[in-house]
Amino acid sequence: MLSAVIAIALSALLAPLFARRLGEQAGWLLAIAPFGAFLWFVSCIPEVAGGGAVVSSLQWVPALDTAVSLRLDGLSLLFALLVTGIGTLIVLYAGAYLHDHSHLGRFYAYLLLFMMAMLGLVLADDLIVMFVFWELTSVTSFLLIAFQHESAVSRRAALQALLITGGGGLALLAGLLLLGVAGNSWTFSGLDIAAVEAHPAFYAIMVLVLLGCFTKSAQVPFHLWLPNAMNAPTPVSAYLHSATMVKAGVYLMARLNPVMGGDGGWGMILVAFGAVTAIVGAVLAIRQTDLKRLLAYTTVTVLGQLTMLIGTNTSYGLQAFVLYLLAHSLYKGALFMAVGAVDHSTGTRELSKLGGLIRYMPLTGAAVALAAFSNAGLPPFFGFIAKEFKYAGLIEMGVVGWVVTLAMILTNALLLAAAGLVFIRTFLGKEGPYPNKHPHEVSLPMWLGPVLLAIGGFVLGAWNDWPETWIVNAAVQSVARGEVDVHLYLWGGITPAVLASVVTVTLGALFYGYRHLVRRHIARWRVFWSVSGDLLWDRLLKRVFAFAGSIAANFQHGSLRLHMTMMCLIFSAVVLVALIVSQENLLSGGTYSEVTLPGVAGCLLALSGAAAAAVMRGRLALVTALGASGLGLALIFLSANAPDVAITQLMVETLSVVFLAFVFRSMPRVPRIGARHASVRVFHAVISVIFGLAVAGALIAAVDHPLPGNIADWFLANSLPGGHGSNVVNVILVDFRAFDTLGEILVVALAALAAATLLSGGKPAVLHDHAEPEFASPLLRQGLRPFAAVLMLVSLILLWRGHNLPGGGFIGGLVGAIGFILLVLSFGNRTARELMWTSPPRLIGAGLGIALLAGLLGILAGQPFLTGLWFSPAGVKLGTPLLFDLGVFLTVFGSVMHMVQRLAGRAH
Amino acid sequence: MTNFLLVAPMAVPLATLVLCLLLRPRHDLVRLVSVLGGVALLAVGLALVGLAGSDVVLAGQLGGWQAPYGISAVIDRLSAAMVAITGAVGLATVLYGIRREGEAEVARDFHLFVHGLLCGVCGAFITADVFNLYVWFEVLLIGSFALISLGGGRRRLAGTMTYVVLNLVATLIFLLSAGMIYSATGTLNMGELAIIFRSGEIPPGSTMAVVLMLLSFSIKAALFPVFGWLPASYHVAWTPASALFAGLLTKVGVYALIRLVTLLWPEFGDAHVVLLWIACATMLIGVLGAAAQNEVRRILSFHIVSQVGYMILGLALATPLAIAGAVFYLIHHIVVKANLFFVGGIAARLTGSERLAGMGGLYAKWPLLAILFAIPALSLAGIPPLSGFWAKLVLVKASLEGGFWWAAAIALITGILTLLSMSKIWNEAFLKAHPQGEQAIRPVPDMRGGWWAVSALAALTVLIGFGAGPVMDYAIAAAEQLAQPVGYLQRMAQAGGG
Amino acid sequence: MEIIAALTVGGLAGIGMWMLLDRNLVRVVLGVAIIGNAINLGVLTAGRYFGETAAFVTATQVPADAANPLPQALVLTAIVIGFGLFVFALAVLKSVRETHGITTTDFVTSATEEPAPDGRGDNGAEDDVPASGGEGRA
Repeated sequence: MLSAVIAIALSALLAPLFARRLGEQAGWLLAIAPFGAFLWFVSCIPEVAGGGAVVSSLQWVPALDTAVSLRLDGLSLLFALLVTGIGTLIVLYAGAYLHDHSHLGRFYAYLLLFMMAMLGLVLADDLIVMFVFWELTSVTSFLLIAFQHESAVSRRAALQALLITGGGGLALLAGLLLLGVAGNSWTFSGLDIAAVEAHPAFYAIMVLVLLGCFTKSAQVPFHLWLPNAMNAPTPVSAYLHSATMVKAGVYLMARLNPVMGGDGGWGMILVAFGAVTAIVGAVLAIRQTDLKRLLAYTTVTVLGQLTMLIGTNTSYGLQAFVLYLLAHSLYKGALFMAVGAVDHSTGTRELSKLGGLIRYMPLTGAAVALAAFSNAGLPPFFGFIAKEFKYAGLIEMGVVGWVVTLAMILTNALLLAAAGLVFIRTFLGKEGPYPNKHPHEVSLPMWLGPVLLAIGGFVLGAWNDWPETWIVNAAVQSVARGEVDVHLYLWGGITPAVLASVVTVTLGALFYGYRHLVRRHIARWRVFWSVSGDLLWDRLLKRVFAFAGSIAANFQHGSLRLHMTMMCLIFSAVVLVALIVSQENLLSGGTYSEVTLPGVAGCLLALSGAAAAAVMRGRLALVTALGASGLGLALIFLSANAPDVAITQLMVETLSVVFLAFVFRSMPRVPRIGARHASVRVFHAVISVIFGLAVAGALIAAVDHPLPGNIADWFLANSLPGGHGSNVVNVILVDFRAFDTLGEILVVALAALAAATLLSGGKPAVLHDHAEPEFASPLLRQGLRPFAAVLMLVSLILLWRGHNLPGGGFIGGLVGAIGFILLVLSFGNRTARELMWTSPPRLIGAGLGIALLAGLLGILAGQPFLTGLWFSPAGVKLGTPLLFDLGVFLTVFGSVMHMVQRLAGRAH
Repeated sequence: MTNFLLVAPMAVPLATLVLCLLLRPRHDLVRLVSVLGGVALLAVGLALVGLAGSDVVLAGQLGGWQAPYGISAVIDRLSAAMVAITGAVGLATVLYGIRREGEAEVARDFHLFVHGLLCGVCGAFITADVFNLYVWFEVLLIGSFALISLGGGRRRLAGTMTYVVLNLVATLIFLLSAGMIYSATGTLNMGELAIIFRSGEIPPGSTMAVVLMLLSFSIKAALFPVFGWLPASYHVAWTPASALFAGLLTKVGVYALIRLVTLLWPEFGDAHVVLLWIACATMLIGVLGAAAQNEVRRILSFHIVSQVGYMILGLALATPLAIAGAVFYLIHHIVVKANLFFVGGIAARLTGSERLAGMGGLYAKWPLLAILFAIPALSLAGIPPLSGFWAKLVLVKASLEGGFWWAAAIALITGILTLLSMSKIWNEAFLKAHPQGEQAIRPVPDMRGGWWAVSALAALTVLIGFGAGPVMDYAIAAAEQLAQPVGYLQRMAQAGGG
Repeated sequence: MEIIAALTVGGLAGIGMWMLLDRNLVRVVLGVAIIGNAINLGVLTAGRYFGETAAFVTATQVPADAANPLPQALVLTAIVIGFGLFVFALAVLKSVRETHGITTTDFVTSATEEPAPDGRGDNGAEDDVPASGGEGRA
């Protein structure tokens, strides 16, 4: 079974290749797989008819106990035969129908892909796998409807079909998941019916599943996609949108009928929706003048009737369901293909332009005749038996049944009239004004399909005990809740059903005779037509997009300040909520260290500097203010016994100021404080204050109790014995937490490179000898040269002693860099570059490389990454951490140099 | 060897970067090294996944200093998977980025920054220390700054500005919260934090610190309502850069969220309820925003937001199945989303426009590209049997089992809306005829790498879809590990011993 | 002292946020620096200010009242990182000024919402496959 599915999938993949090689003849080759599958299913008939079921299973996602388990019982067999049988004919038909189309290969591929999906759908026993195939049919149908991809109409139709069926599909998914949980099994055959019925979510399941089925099977109000789908090439309409895919919903309803079909209202819902759908479809059908749309609407009708029949849940009703399903697939497939043939040879599908074609297209005509009779439900055709059973089934239901029977009679009569239109109007009577003057009989593959299907409909009807014993019985059993005895007959005496048939036929004849009158009457109900589904659909889509637009606008204002405001408010809100939730009572009197004067001074300096930077306008003033604020910070650090931090802060601040000065040269005065409007200014001030309070509050909440943990003591204790350094901070940086430092120098390096690339597109810096005019005085230059040299020296010393005294890689690197900056300023960057004997990026690379190496050495020694290895030649303690620090030094130095060379350059 | 594997995810890109720097003037060598580096990272990732798959949790102390004093590094199933997928996407990006046209220097520096970014990303995946995590976030942040601004230009600089400023503030929040965590709990080691939080008696101030850290992660992960920076900037970067961002950056935030939340709050609690609401809002707003867009990458950018919502949904439900769903979604999404950006880039170069109105005709003229778009697009929309379907299936199942039917409903509605905007791209860029006629579609030179990248990622998507069995098993095992993070807790146990 | 420091942090953060909300990118960049300083101070504060002496140990004895070295190391790292980011922000400022000729944030950012320009580039003609952002240069 699985191999059948796979074989079809394979031929789908090969289709484009064959099509390119063989053109339309490829059809014969590609039809092999479906036909083989068809034969195989035929060979399975005896076993299934005997009440057995062919099963096969293959693990897929054990974690969700999803397995590709296929199960061939009566219902599946019936569908499998239709899918593969009609499929074979369609593949042949398509080749001839689209022989001159450039995308024939793709068409074959999609068609076979759909066949595969549909086959899998009807065979799958696993809920999830069934859904997988279900969605695949939607997608392939999308591709096929949009096959004429350059016409906007087809694209719209395809999208409509995809969204409606896809949306239903998602509901179905939810329904199936609930069903699996409720029936504690993930296979249809294993579902625990009692458990499902008892489950609280029973109605939820029913609604969700029915949403899926109704959308797929085009029940009112979801029917509107089906007629539009007729924009697809005729083979597609014949196959997907009449014979197979649209029946997927019906199939699932039938499949679940034993489970859901208790007295939970399932039957009533189905009958109600089915009846409405049937009537709407039939009425709309009569209005059509395009043969294909006419057939499309009759399909809607039939789908409604089938739904209704499942709903009846009576033995006759279910038999009628199976019979009618079979009959309809046969004759509707035939009719569609025939219409395609007519279209193909006359170039039109307009009833008004057709007539008398029997002369030119005898074979097609004959096929249509047979199919139409079956469609009309006249004896001895299969359709007749189906109709009889329909009535019988409905009448069995009692009063409701009678009501519904009337609906059924009406719709059937209309169907009959439609059949009349298709055959009599098209093939009999005088010739119509065809666009194509000389219609001709179509080629073999195009008439073969209709003829075979039509004959099938006749044969099955005339010798009806054959289908009864072999197909119908088993199918009915798998749809019914209990045992049902099946007996088909053409003539069962004068029953109410027969009378109903008589009424139907006469009514139908009348409808056909007075069709113009009928049309006119129907046309009167303007109200009804004006609220056509399509309009609503378009409006709905427009609404959705409009709504989406209004949402998006709130986040696409393209204003940095609004983003910032948002973030600021959210931060504050979070802090506030967190404070409230965690019931922190601030200032609960934790033990605080005493206030130091320099500390306070620093705080004040930092604040005032910042405040100045916030309000001043002059560029120089801004730079100074920022510098002051930074100095204040350094002061605080110093007062907190953090010399290394303080020095680093100083260095960084110096550099920042220098760079700011470089950049600001190209800037105008900062025009105005804050926002333009006073109100906005106030708002900004307020949220800034809130933000500040939030930060302060959060921090206080964090420090408002003694610091837990002993980490500090451990570091102090292990710095010298473990890290061979007395400057604990530096030891932490290059040893205990060197991994941080590695990332940190990487940041600096990348920042330098990024800034350079941004400013000069990564080109090497322009070297020049001219000094910055501000530094042009020769005296200054002479003075600076030695000073710079001294700074170099100092930086190296700082690097070396860093492990034991304040200093280290960063500070050293920064100091050295500052020395170089002086040179750049006074002599231009060429001198600096020559002194450096290599390009900054190389230095950076070397630095990072050394740092990484220092880490990897540890690994080579069988230790973890960055483990310090120590040895002391001549009493000097050397170790990889020092090597690491050297890497830091080089990286920082190189990075800063790189930044300088780019930022220093004036805009050129 | 394990010592090396533990840091290899970070060391390999770093070494590549160093080589690239030293060879900088030789562009061709830089390219070669860069590609090799990508391959190496992928190899490392696969090796790690292999180890993790056999339930080996790599864990160690960097510098050999015991926890919590030294920095711990842990690679469990989740980390391993993330590294592997990062390697894959990174390699694809590098391949796509191989260009001889344009400005050579910029094309070269691209490789430097990509590896710098990868280094940060992988560092974030392996570390088990809060402050160290901050450092690696900074690395990937500065890398992303470099990449988003790469090439310059008016729009791009404008986007860069927004991106830089907002993200700087976000990382400062992170830094502050890291300091607060130390101040409140006296440790930076995630394992010890987990022990503290799971022990029940939570020290004052620590909850707030953690919440602030989660906030900064949420900004990075672009959760509602703090995702504004993402759609404001992603669409301006050079295609491979934005693809890398789309795939990886927000996911690092998601990874961090998953890591921290599962460590600290294994049981469903208030935090999860909040997350659940945020997740649903993120899904809906994101997908609606996407529906309103008319440019390929704008649509895709908004979709990133809504997809992140799915992952957070899984995290919020907190059942093993849900977490597994989140992990699966993470893996699937990185591949698919990066791929969509790549395809979008190729499509834009073929049609000469990125606006849907200006595109078209690719379906007829470039069927291969159509297929390569359809695969990730359908997967994103959760069409079976592609990877996205399983991810969504698990999440919907989990939320139904958890009784959060409304969450499931939102997830499904988001699904159909995703399908809507994907089919919008499909109809406009592929099916529709090109507004300037067929001849407007010109093949672009120098895109071989791009085609390779796109095809490989598409193949991976299909593979994850059909091979969902093993992947799902892996994800579920990963979820169990997250519930019982022995790798993290053991660090502390050993510390107690020694 | 911790309280005062915390308040200072709050104050700096507030001022910084005010600057971030300014119309002018110049001030915004400065604001980034200020907030950065604030948070650095915050991290150090988080480690408390106990201890009389700096964290230096000698072979003979470990000072009992040394300051907490860990937050110092963290802050040092944070400062350097912040410096790197600040420099990049400066670069952005400079090139924004050069390409847009203006530093009013909202005028600049509005460019991101313009429709993508057509062209053969990965994203439009304007910034074709990596072209150095030169076209705006004077």
